[in-house]
Amino acid sequence: MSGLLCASFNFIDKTNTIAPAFGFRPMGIGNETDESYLRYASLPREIVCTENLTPWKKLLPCDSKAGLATLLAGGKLFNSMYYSLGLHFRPVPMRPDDAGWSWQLTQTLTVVFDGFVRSKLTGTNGWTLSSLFGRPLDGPCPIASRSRLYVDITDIEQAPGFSLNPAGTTVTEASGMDRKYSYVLYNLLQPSTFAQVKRLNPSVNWDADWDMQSQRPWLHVERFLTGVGLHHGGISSLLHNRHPNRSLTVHHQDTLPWFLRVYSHTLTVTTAGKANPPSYVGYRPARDRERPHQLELLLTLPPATITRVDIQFERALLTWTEYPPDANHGVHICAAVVTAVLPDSDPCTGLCSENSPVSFYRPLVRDTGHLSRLYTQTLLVSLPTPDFSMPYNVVCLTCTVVAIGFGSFHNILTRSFRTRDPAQASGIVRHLANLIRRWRGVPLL
Amino acid sequence: MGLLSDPQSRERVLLFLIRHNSKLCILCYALGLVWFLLLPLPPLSAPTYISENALLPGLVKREFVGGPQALSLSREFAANKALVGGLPVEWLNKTMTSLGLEVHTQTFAVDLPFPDEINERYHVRGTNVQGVVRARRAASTEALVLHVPFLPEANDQAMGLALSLAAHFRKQVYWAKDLIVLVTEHDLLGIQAWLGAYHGINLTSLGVRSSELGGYCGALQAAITLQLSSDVATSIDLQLHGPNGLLPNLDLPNLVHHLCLHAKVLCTVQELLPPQEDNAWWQSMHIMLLQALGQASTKPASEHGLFLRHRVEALGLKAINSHRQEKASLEKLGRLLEGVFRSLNNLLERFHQSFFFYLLPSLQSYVSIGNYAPCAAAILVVLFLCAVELWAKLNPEKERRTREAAASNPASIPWLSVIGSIVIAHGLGIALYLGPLVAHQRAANYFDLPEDEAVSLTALGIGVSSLSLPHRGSTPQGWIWLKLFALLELGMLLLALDLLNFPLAFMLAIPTVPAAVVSQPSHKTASIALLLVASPAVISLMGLAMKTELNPHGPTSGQLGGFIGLFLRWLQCLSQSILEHQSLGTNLYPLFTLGLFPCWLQLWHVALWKE
Amino acid sequence: MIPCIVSQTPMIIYIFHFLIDYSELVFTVVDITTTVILYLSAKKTALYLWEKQKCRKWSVDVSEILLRPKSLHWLPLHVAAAYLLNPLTVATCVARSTCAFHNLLLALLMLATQHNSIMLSAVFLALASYESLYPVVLLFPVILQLAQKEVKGKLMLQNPYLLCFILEYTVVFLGCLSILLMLSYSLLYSSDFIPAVYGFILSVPDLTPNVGLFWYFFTEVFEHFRLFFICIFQLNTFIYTLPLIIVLSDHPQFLMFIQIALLAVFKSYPNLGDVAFYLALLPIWSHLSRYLRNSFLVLCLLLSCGVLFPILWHLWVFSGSANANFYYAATLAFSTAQILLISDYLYAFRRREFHLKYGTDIKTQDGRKMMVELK
Repeated sequence: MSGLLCASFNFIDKTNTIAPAFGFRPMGIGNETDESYLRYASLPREIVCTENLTPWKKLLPCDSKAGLATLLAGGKLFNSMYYSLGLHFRPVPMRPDDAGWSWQLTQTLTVVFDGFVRSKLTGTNGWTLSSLFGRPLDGPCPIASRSRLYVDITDIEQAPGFSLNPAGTTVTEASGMDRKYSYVLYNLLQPSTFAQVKRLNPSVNWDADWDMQSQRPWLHVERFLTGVGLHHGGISSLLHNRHPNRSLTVHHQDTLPWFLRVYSHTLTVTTAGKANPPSYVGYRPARDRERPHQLELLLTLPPATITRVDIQFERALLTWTEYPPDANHGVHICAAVVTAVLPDSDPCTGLCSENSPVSFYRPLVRDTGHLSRLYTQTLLVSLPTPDFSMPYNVVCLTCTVVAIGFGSFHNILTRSFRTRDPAQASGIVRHLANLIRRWRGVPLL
Repeated sequence: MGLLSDPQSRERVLLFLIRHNSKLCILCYALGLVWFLLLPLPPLSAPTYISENALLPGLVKREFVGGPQALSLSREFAANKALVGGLPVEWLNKTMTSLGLEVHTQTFAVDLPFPDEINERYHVRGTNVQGVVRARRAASTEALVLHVPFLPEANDQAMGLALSLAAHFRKQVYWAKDLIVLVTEHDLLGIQAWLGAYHGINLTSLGVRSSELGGYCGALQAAITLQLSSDVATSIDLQLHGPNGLLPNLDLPNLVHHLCLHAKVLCTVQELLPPQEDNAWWQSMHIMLLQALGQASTKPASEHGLFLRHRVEALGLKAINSHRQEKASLEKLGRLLEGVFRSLNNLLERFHQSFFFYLLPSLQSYVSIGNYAPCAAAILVVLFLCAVELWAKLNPEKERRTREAAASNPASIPWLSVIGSIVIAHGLGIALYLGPLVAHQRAANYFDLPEDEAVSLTALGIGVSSLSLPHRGSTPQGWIWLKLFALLELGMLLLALDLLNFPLAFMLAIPTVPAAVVSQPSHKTASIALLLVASPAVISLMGLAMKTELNPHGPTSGQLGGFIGLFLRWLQCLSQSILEHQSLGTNLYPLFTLGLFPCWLQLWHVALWKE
Repeated sequence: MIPCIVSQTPMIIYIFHFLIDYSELVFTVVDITTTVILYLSAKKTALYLWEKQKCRKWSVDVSEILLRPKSLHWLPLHVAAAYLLNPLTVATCVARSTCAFHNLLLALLMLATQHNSIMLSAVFLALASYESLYPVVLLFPVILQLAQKEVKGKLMLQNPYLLCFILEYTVVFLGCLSILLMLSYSLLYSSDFIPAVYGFILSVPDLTPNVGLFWYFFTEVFEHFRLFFICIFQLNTFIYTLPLIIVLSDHPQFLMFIQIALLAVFKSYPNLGDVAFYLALLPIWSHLSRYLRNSFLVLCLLLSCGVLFPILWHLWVFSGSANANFYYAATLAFSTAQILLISDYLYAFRRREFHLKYGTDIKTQDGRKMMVELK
């Protein structure tokens, strides 16, 4: 996998892998997967780039030669604000009533484009597919059984001057809490899509002075480091529950490297200044150079509040070979994973029903909401560093001090006191003086 | 180890030290002074260079063209400022959002221990506004800060330029670190509150109440504080030192200087022109002395200094508009700042390559710690030599002792008078430290004075009254033990201070070391005279006088000249230092009261020792 | 396999389970108890030294270096004050370091040895060795001290009574130690604590900076030589035992002092509490001050190190202005100062013994004063 995707998975070893107790559940058929084999690992230092995109695209049936994947050109994709690639494997039944099963590979790509800069450059609000991806769609992938393009117009439907060309099929879905979602569907496999235009290039426009007010998500997490200096420090997570009247139960999972000596007794969870003890705390301490710290919390976030999770740590000094080449950059701490079942009125979860466009990778949970997994920021922790240019000097100086001790004690313990006439010169000087005296003919010492 | 174990050579060295003690002391002291005076000259000062290769200054094409936008934004800011009568938070919020930044505000409240007459504040309430330019596709692990302090009467153009730069930066794709445009109120208190909330730690003894901060951007790598109050500037002045004598990594001022040379903008330090060929030594010395005095005062040169305590390298840029011909427009200054931030963006690691301890005789040369440490060491050796002589007097070797002297118990310590003196001196030091804060209310009510004057006068009162305590010794030789203890304590204090704040240590050492060495009951007049010159009060007065003399601007208008004016300013400085210690965590006042004053008082007791 | 946040023995962890809420009180009480025990022990030591001085034969002219009743009278108070008022002891108490318990056990060991109690001294020695491995070298001075009262005849290896006593005491000591290990095993139901506690002390996996020599050395040493140097350093801690026993067999009190001091310098995780303990024992040997050679230098070095340690730590860790080398240099200076101090006291002791035997004023036949040197 590492070589296939240029993803440095070979750096995953026992020092950054944990076995989570909650939070990750198999999403395929049958729960015969042994939970003791569940592992979670993260490489916070790696960055996703074209080296990962190219092999990812090659896994697609049509590569990037036909269908939706033709839009995925590196130049435009990496000019975005946020970018994420995913590969999901799960076992699924071959046919609905069949006992047999096969593996399903789901590849996801998430890109967030910068609408602000585009609107500043062009002077209008709006976008076209070719302005985002650099080219329009020519046609579907011939071996695809489903090839669809959805444009979410829920928030901009009512904007003054709104227009969408070419027209597609409008799909409206209602969810709980009186929230309606509207999508425009372009089915690439239908011949009518390419009947009017040779190349599909949806363009959306609305008036320049209308400000799009999207609803903010109910759950938002921020994580940051506290403290000053290279000895103590703390990690704080701020979990915002923006729902006006519904409390959320979240699972917060943290993996901290072994060289941050975490003190579990300093864990505090407060909401609006008052203590909010978690309903479950699962903590597995680290072993030096063997496994990381694993902290899992089950928290209840009251409505419209900010909950703060704090924990303190001390930094350890490593041997000089254990530091990365840019030791003064710092080490990266993995993102914490916050899992929650969000109410279906959350604007980011999308629709409820099984047939909705986004349901196949956001499974329904107990008909009440969607499972949502948030990853916080990674953190950069500076570690105290020794002087890397000094191994010989340190060995010499320390051994000198030890030798001073050894020499002094050796002298005092192995020798004994003797008296000496101070007028008498010491051995070799006396011998030389006697030689000179003999030559001069005067009495010897 | 031969020297330590061979009794004959030890004896010879000891005899040499004792016989030529005063000559060696004078020689070492003179050596230290002369070494310091020679520091601005090569080879003790070396030409500056950029150590961190990743900075690559000036290699990118500067594209900032927002000069007119900066000007219009600064006019709008000034107008809104006048309208609101303070920081126009809503206007800033709206403008920053329209420029595409992510805006967060923080309200803070600080209650000072007593009113601050100079800045006219007592219970401080303020708002800080931060606008964040998020780097694309980065995980917000690192950030750079462009800080614009809000000043009621000035700094409008800095605000306009910062906003215009932020708008330009927002459109670029090459940022690897987030950029924070930070606007703080109430100068040092505001930035202190923001840094405390960002790092979750309060480094002062005052309680700062602040709202929850949002928009965390990871570890701060570098910060630039901008002060610009005119539409054009003739020079950029670099403000270096932070609280307690901290300095930014030398790479950062070198970077800005290099880019100024590139952009043909005059860059100065201590607001003085670079030294000319004909008068190089005095002009370099002038610049170096101003830096030394600034560090010795432990007050930060500008708001950037508070970043240094959190291990964030920071620099203050102050644009000065004088009568010179060549003016730099806002656009030129914007390109300069763009170059600085592009270089900082290139950094892979934190600043660690170049020096953290240095003296700058000019921006073209520097004196590293390895070159200025010998003058401190030479002056400390004087104390050590004097201590060796006293020790030898107290513990003569058995070969030099007569039988009669040996029969009595050798050198019994007069415990009561020595320990008594030590305890009293330190107790008075603690009283001097705590007294003004605890008793100023009562003094203000009783004597009907403004509170800050009450603070300074209380401190002065305690200091002067402590001089008159009786000191009667029990044995004629007991003063030697007290002097030895005082010398060792002074030596340790100066050693500790040399590492933390070299200019302050050196300036304290110059008067106190001769006074400490000379003070004896037998040389009463000379001891008292030197001790009075070396007293903490007189040292701080002389420091203030030197700073006023060397100030490139000369005395400000409205200031009284002469000794009365100096004394009144000194009283003000006394209360300011107490206030700064409480609100900012600077250490001048505790150093003088808990460190220097007890040593000095013990030496005073030695000088006035009566049997 | 060795965890590094906590490497204390199971008994301490179990005891602190109950005491953690009153920790300030506990540590203050422990310090005061140690002071009282040291006072009693110093009183017994003074008496012992006085009795010993009366029994020996001296040369002429030695009256000025003999012990005097007046100084012996004040000795216990000096020792108690030197421990209680020592800033290092206060710092250890404020930091709530378990070194305070270690010092208490050593003080109890000294008192039990003074009182010639075989059982108690074996128990305290076993407790001290159980807590940190190194006090096991104190077995020899304790045996020598107890043998002076218990064993008939001269203290020489040929004496069968001495060999019997050594065997007997070692068995008692090992028995106490094994009881403690069994208790710990029963607390945890596994013997994982043995590599966790003793393996940790011997193999030095944690490199947190302290006042000793090991941490920076093992941070910078090449991985290839790590095991070799660990063996060398641990050997260095134990190697002085045999020569010291041979030279100081008649003076087990002084032997114990030197051993405790050497352990404080050369053990793998030294701390300031260990230094405070042996500094408190210095007033017992104040009669050696006449022959000390480097007292002023050592005093200055120790004071400077005491001042430099927090400052250089602050500069490295908090300011980021200095790097690890400055703090490392301070640890080197501190270790050198301690080595100078200990070797100075050893030299002074041996020299005093020499002068007690041959007189203080040795002259040649012509009346010239003779020099005394170590050859």
